[in-house]
Amino acid sequence: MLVIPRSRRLLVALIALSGTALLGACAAAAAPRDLRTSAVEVAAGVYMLQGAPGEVDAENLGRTGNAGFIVGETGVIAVDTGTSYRHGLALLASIRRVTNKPVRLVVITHARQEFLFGSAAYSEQGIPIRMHRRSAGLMRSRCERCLKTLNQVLGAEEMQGTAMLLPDQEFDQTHAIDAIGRPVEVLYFGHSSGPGDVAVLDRRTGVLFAGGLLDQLRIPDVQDSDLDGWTRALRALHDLPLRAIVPGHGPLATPAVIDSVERYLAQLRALLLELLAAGAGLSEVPDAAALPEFARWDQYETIHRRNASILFVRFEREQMFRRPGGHD
Amino acid sequence: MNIAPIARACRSAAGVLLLFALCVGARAEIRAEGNPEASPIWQKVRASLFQSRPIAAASDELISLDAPTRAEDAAIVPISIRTRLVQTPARYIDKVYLIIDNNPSPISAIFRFTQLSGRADIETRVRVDDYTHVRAIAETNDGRLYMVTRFVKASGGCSAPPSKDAQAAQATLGRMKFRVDGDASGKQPVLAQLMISHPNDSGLAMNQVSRLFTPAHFVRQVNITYAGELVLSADVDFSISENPNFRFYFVPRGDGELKAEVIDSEDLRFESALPYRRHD
Repeated sequence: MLVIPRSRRLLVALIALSGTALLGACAAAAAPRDLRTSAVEVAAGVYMLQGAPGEVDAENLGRTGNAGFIVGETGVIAVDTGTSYRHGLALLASIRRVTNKPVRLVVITHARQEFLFGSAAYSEQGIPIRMHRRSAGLMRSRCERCLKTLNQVLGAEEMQGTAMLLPDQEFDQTHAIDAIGRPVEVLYFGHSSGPGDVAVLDRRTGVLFAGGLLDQLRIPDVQDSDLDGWTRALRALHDLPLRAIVPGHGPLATPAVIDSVERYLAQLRALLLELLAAGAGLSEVPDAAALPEFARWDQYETIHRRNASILFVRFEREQMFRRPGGHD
Repeated sequence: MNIAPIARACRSAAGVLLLFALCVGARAEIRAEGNPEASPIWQKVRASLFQSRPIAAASDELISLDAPTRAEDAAIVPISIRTRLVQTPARYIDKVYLIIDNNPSPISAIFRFTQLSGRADIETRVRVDDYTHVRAIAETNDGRLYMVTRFVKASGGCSAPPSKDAQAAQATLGRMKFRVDGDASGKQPVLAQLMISHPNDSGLAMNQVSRLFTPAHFVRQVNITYAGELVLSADVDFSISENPNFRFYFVPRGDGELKAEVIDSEDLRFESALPYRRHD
């Protein structure tokens, strides 16, 4: 037993403390963040990999989108590939920690940067990438620019190996996936939150990977949307036997999230039409479009204000041509 | 052989290239807000537009500029120029220049006002290419210049692709609509808005799928008259957002027609008129 004379205890304590602090600092420098993404089993054989809240930045490595996977008898279906090649590798490693079964394919739910830029990691392992034809089209028309911005924000090192990959498999309709000995469906509702946005349903557990259609506690993004189509899609979701929802962003949700998103979109539409009728100028819109009920949702200060501007301009244009609803 | 269009194309191409060169040269400094006077592009624009004429800092009493500190959508940034000066023959604002330093074409608009403007206010939407100073410079009838500056942060990100549906745009090209917010009390000046359907393509945007640059096709002049007299005239270019949109004032002396004449870079002309009756 080490006996420390009283007179020395304070000194020893100080040395120990600073030693720990130093070790801690070294550890921090060596591994600034825990790069493992842990899979959470949300229902039997269905796993969610939750993204970080907030905007894409160097702190969260841009890993703000959710991903997930479904383990069947003969394989795994993955949903979404993350923000970068490295992120894709981390997601695949998470799958590997849960099961050795082969990943038969990965479905990309919608064409936004935090869901598709990890595809190179999947492709490398021979995992086919499946996207709706219209998501692929949207990706091809704009995602190169996103990649440039990601490189600027996250740095070339974090983004190394990341590229925009065209899907191996494109589809147009709702369809069943037969590949893993477990009934899984890819659901397409027409142009909704985005032109090719789809949801992935695990029939056995009633878990829905909602992709762009639903965000939990985060402002939904209207940029790629057709508001009427999205409302129709949400109504259709009500008719499905759903037990839990893995949203595109945010924590695991109950089907009540469908109502939240419906309410947000309806209130936003109503408020903007009011502002338009009142002759508001676009510069006034972001402030005037405050919706306090949703002020605590993630990205209220950014995405909500942008939603208001985008929709205001859209409605203004529709009124100019007196064309009801729809997307330009 | 008609060389005029070729000459014009060469001039505009050279102009664009020159502006590109100016921008590339100044790239290192643009991210930080810094001192607005120090912007090298501003120094060049200032010299070309105003030579060594003094430019005073504008007080809010004369002209104010409202622009978002952080642009929600870099392709549609609302810019609001408000003046407190009532346009009278003794003192009026003759022109307002809108400069966006780090845009490919910094001189984004030159607005000319008249007595019939009532107020030299103008609100429009612009494309902002990068973090930049935005300036409104008022020139009063005595030749004095006053400037107000704002800094706008606009980042690339995942915006909607530039040319969403070229065919649809072609079908509605040049369609225009006036909206007048006159109220029954006959309060003047009357607020009006002109919306023009036009892609306003810069010629600098590459279609990521076809790898081709969408050719330049943009509104270059807007003339608004009331009862045949000029209210507002604007020299503009592709810094103005797709579907150019302008809010302005006019003083209706008697009943008449509010009329817009728009000319674009292909020399296409569009017209629209709205009859207006005073409510008093």
